[in-house]
Amino acid sequence: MTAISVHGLVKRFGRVVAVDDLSFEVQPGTLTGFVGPNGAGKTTTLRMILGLVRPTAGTALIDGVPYVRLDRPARHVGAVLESSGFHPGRTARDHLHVLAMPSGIPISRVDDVLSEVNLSGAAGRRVGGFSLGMRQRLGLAGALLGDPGLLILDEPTNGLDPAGVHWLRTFLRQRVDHGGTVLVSSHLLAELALSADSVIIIKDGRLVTQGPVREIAPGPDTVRVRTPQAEQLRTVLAARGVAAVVNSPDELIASGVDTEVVGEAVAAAGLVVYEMSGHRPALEDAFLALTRDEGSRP
Amino acid sequence: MTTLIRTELLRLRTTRSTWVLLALGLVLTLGWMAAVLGNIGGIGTAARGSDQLRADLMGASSIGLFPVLLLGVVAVTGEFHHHTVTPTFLVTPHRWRVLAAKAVACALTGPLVLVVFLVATWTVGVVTDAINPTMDTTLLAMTGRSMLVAACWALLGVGVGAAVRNQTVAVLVPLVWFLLIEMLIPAYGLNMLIPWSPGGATIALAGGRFAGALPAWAALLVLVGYGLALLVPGGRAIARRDIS
Repeated sequence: MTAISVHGLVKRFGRVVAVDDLSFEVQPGTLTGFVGPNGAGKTTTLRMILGLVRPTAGTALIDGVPYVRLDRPARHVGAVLESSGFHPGRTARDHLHVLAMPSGIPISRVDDVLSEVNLSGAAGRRVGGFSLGMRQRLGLAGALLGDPGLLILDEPTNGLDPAGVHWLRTFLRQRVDHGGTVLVSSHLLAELALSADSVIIIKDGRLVTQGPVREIAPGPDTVRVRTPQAEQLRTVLAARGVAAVVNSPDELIASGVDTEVVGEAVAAAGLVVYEMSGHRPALEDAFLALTRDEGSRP
Repeated sequence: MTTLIRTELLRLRTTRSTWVLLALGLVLTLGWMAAVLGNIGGIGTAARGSDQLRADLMGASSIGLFPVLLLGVVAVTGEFHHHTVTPTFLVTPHRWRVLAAKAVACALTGPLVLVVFLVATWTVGVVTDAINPTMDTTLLAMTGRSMLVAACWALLGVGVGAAVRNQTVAVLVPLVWFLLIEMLIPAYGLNMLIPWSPGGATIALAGGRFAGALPAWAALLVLVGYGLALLVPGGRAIARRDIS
């Protein structure tokens, strides 16, 4: 069974179409990135999946049922949403206690999740004095209360410092490696490319593409070589069936190969090389290409 | 449903505004009581130790009904004001149950808060020799009626909160209603409306007497009716609303 299945989802706010006939699936046991430019409809889609926003048309199911029909949903799904708030006068521990009680989650679990997100030291402090990063961690702690199999996070890296982003990435990867499922939205693809199994890319409320990260990053690998014998190297590579262009008298770029192939060709021909580097096409570039405005597309 | 009510009681206990409102009610009540105490022996003031003076002094706690009502208002509007409504409805997607639990929790808490005000007035009254430290049925009846009124006002507050949702407006609406609009009713010669107004029904339920006052049971129904008349359409709007 799919962890999340979205079918023909539409949301109109007056005359604005925020989400337009969107369909996708999230497989269990995967870390899926949900990416798109700002205003693409990511947050609205996630809120429809979570039963907070009523779709104009279409369905969003979690484990085959709508969110509102899940029995004690906190035990199935943990969500961290933007603009999800905290009462500033309440302590971190009390905030979690209030969230745990309706789902029948024992109070002992509150201290467990606080230590999981490294907030044990602030458990008795009022949330009003928390930094943005601490609020993100507290939001995550709330999502973890019911030890859910599925985590849904909306822009969770906002407000986190680089160390926090690294920590979150490792944390989410561990959940997935232990059988969990994670759907995480972001407008910064680079933060996800290192850890996601697959991505869903949307733009203007419509699906652009969905699939494994490696398939979505298209185009050949390239190798850049700095050498005083660029023209000779080009001939050597051409003889081996490798396309290459001489960029400047001492630089050559070969495409569709890795550094091993070029290195062997260089050694066989006895050429001098000052520098050599391989490049994978970045997912970021693919994302930018896929979501570029029609008008500026070449 | 019991779990949800207990959750809402916990929410009230762990919210600072609850305690601020309790303190505010205590200050207002004791302030008004001091004014009555300071006037003993003056024109229109009952004698020390009389039932009438006891009723006047403990009646000061009626000013504490405003904090009780605001407790109900903030229980709903605070969720929108601080955006806590998102996690609340994520944990309990049945929005009607959450609202019903809030109404019950506030209707249970309101009377307890008012008892605190009553005990405070009684204690100060006894210490200052204005009230005889005896228990009697009149005192118990007064306490019981006051608690019923407080439950109704807390429910009324939840209703206003659900219907208005904007915290600032929702706090101002009841103040303007009771302190301004109800005061204007006699000025426009609409006295026949007074028994049916929230203020008139409150006085009738509390045991006050005036021309045309409803019997206590009818006044109770009228007050609960006002609460539900606000809560039901407000709740329906919240149930349909997009939470974003």
